[in-house]
Amino acid sequence: MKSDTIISELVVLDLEAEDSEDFFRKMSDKLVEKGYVKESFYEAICKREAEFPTALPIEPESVAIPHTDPKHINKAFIAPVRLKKSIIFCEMGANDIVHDVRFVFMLGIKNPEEQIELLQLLVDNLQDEELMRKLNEANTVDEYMAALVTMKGFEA
Amino acid sequence: MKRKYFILKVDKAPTSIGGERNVSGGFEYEYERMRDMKRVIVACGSGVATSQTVASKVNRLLKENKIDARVDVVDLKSIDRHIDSSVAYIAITKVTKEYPIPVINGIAFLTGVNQDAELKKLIEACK
Repeated sequence: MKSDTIISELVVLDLEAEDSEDFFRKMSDKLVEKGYVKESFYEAICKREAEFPTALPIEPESVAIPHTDPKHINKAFIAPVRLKKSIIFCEMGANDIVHDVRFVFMLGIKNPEEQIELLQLLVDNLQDEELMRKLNEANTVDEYMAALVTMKGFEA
Repeated sequence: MKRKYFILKVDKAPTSIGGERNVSGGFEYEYERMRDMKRVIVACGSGVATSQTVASKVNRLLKENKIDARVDVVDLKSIDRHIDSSVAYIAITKVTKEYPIPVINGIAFLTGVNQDAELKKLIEACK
């Protein structure tokens, strides 16, 4: 799996957000500005997250993988975000369970068939304590990216 | 929504399962096999990420366990239409209804958490 869908210009470290809507507002603005998504993205992602939440109950830390219909996406991307303070996301498939989430991977899926492998690899790797430690400790976007591109199953 | 069939490729068809069977045409055999195959359905909110990923994982696990079943990704809105023709429903969204077939937790296959228990349930349903 090529790691080139993990986009370095979309990495945000220590983003401050009040809640998931505020988070989506900030990230949508960035994604629109860089041309990755259409204007319709913000509303679509908020709506989908409310209806079909995306926090995964994994160890060492719950992570969220928000995504929405390909029609709102211009080009495929993974936007990796580390929040300054955790915000609440509901659990995928169990909407009444909430998780404090600090690590979010927004998935811009353009062609589902080509990206099947990607989500599985990502979820497997996010349960690796060593990787999560590196993501926690990274001081710069470069350090963050360096940790991500060495994930198992990915190649540069 | 475009249906996706995961067809098990058959190199050599067995010559006699329960009596005589026309196995001369590989295509015909595969068609018959698919029609008779147990079917498992997977559905998620948008059908773009999680259900596809889970379907691919489940398909692999069933093969590894030598279970002959077809895994289809279906649109969540049309789930009721597919229940009758399926032996199990792998759910990735909150299930608020009762179904006449076993409902399997699909997130388990994505995260690996409780995967063994859910796989066991699924294999039972496919028998």
